Amino acid sequence: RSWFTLVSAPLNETAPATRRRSEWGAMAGMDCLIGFVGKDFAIVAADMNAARSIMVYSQDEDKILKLDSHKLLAVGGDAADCIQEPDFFKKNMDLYAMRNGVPLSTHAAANYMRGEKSYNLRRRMSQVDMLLAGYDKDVGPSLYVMMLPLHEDVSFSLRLSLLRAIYFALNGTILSPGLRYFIDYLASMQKLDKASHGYGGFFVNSLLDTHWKPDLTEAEALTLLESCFKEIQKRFMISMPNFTIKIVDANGVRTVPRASS
Amino acid sequence: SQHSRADSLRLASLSLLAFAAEAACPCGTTAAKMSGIMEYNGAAVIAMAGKDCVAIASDKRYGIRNQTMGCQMKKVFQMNDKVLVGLTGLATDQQTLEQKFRFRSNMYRLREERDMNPKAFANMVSSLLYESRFGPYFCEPVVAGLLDDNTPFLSGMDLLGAQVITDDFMVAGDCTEALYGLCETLYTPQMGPDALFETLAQCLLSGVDRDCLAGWGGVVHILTPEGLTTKHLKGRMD
Repeated sequence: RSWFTLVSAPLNETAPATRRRSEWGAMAGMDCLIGFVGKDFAIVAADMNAARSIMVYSQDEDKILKLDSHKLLAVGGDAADCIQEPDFFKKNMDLYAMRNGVPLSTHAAANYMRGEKSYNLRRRMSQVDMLLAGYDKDVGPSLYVMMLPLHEDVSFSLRLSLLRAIYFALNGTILSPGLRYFIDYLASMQKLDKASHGYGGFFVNSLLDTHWKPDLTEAEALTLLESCFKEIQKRFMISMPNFTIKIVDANGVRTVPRASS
Repeated sequence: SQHSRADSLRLASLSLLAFAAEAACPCGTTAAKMSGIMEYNGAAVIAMAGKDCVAIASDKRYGIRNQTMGCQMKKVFQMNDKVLVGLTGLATDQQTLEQKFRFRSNMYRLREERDMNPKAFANMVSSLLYESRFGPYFCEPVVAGLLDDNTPFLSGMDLLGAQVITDDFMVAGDCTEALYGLCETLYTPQMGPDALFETLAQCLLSGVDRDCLAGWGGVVHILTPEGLTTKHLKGRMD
């Protein structure tokens, strides 16, 4: 297709801003990710629903990716970006480890990812919530959160600023498809002791505030997670029967089976 | 004819984009809609000048709209021995800008073999923000520092880099109305470091009590010719 055709495409195609939020990677907010730090481990849990709009495709999808021997990345948001973006990060981190002989620390990995996301922020659309949990020998367990907005008007403002940037920056450049795809998420990063993403997070954050304390043992952590799951299953209108739980500690990454299942 | 085709393409695409921009806004006024983005994360920063000292304080909330995610967020950063900058607005841009400021400050240091003084730093910040005039960073910085003769320097700007330099106090964030009132009443010129800290802490804590998007503790940095002191404030966690 030539650039000429793109310019004369109907307005619906060229103004994604007019779509409702549910059409933007329809999963925004539907993925429930929970993570927190224990005594010498970091634990992450995610629901296992793969759904779009009203339809659930699968209820055994693993949303927690093993980035390297001592890092876990839980991802939520747009389904395609959740595969592509962490994959890109993982490959680059593997390359770094191969070139330099030492893998990135959790702090370095989080900052690397935030840098990539903020670079892409005003260039392309990508909707991925991330919880990075890792264990380093010198620092111990840590949890980093990269946030995604659930609200339209923020992404609108970013989109508008991008539109304006394009408006004034077109100097003989051909209007390519790449310029039309707008960012829809923000790349702010924080190191936290406990965090949760998505709509499920609204229910779980207060539970974590009350019951989390420093130096939780693994059993206590699993009990806390179970109470979080119970709350989500009781009060959240999306049915989430299954959850994945993974732990990262000095020995590496492992999956923890749920006691009740 | 190649040249004129490019021109007509540019014209068509520009008008299309302008139309899309207007069409994209449901409420009809683009300026009003954009203001939501500055309140997205929530922040409050005050800087005050005293006698040969300057102090800058911020809240510690990290939130997304009405939900608070964390209470340990850093919003004031030290760039060199004599310069501090506090950032409000969108958290991601705060973090990106902090890195950009640090980069430029360090490059200046390497090239010039001396630290950037606060006035030069503030001008640099202003021009950095204006570089992105049509796709700006959604951040309103406050620069506080001590000039070579130890007189305090305060500068604040909007997200496009329009700078204003004052000699008493500078506020930025969501609850500026509340903060202005407090600072205006409680500020006296030529305060020493302790009095300055006390005044600034009270202004911040009382001011953010009126704002649900800022608060959850505070941190005050006091910069004197001897060095930097940092004090954390216990405030209402709500």
